[in-house]
Amino acid sequence: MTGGSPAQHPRATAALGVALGVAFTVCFVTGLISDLIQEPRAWLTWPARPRDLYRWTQGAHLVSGIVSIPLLLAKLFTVSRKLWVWPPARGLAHAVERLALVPLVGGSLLLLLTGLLNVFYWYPFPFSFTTTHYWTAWITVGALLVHLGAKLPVARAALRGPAAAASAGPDALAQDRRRFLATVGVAAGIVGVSYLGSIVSPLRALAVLAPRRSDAGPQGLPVNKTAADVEVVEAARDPAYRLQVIGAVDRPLHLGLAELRARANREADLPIACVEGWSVGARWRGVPVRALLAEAGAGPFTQVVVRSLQRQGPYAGSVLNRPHAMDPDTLLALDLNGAPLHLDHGFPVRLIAPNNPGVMQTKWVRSLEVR
Amino acid sequence: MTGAADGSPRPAYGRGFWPAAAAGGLVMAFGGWGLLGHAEATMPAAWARWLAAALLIHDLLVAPALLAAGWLVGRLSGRWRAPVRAALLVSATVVLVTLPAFWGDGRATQPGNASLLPNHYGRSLLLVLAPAWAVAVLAATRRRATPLGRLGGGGRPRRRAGGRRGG
Repeated sequence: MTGGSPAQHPRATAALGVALGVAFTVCFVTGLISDLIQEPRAWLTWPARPRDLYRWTQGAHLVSGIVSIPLLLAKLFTVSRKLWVWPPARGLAHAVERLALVPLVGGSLLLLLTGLLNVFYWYPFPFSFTTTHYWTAWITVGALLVHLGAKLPVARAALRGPAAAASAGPDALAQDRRRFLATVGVAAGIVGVSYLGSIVSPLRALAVLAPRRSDAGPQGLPVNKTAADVEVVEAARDPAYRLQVIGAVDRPLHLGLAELRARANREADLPIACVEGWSVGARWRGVPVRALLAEAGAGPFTQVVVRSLQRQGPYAGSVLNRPHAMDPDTLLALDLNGAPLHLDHGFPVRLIAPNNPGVMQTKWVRSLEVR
Repeated sequence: MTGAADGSPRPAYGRGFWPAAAAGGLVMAFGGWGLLGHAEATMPAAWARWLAAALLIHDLLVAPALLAAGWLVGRLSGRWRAPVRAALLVSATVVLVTLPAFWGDGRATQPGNASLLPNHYGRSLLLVLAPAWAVAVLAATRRRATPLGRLGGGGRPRRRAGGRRGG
């Protein structure tokens, strides 16, 4: 293969490499943040404020991931002819650099593919999405470090060094290359903005390509799992339902729906921010968790375990750390946007807390256990 | 870029290469340790098969298809080349990221949940692709041949035999 298009030039590769480097960094860091919140570590207490922080970190994860798809394919296109170079390695460093391409390219493809399939609720792969996505990210980022060690000087030279201008080629070629890069940018922008539409409510109408619309669901709010799907319909509608506040408390509470309703004196505007990236703000009315803890006479506690009527699955419960449990806006909500909670949104009561991932906003709450 | 492609004896590496390679190796080892340590969730054998499949599908199908498309677009006349390439790129991206909506079974995972894949994705594609191609056709018909087209002296670009060796 001779020639090649002007797009297959080190300058195009370097420019795409920079864009991809930024996108991957944002994606990796925001992914780690999400993991740290959901699998709390002793050295980090995730704060309850700012209220929308998780909404933006996870939104950034989704958007940086989706724009990486065209960026990665375009970057691979600009170097695809190098795949077949012979001999495959010239020297040890070259061998190491090329070997690292297997985890780098393979890992990147796998991360973007499984991430995309996950938001579309399609699981053709046998492994668990979350755990595998997490560890694959570490492998890929490690390989990326090796790649940066080899390519950072090359990219810098291609973009800025004295040789850069000389290697840019005739104006016409440079112009064609710029058009190619601009087109990749437009393609990435189209999918990026569409996904942004499932995060930023005023851009809702643009979410045509995304697997979620932030207004598609009962009461104008999306539902991740329905009551029927997790088999809580009967228990949630049972007139004998009692919320229990138990554990390290002086006076355990057993409150029926009417008693909860009598205590539902606080309103808060809080977003539901899903780990899958979509988010939407809503107005909630309910009982402050803090007030329930005080009423029950909770001592100095470290966490509150929230359990759902949902008996099985990884999201049948969640843990509130101290800042979240004590935040005045952390509620057991009974109303959503002025109407009683829909069964699929967690009737009779659901947890809603500021700066908390959607999967930890436990629905159909059965008990709070103070620890 | 590595120097190997253009026949130079050995690619040059900066002083930072081996420290970066060592750090990257450590991070990869941490990732591999975690992957193997959570084998019941990550299923390393299946994971490796998926990784290999992703690489092979890209290298043997996607990359040659893109090269072929690039070659075909390169044969278009100057005024059509950039607009068609742009429209093709946008189309491929948009089709690729919505493919799971057509191919997958997302809605079937929870019958009755109207929140899952609420869009009509065929219509979505039309919404993006129709304007993209309309703009491309408009741009091509309203513009004179690009300088690159003239460079080739006719409809197609000159083969730049020496162009890639300068760098």
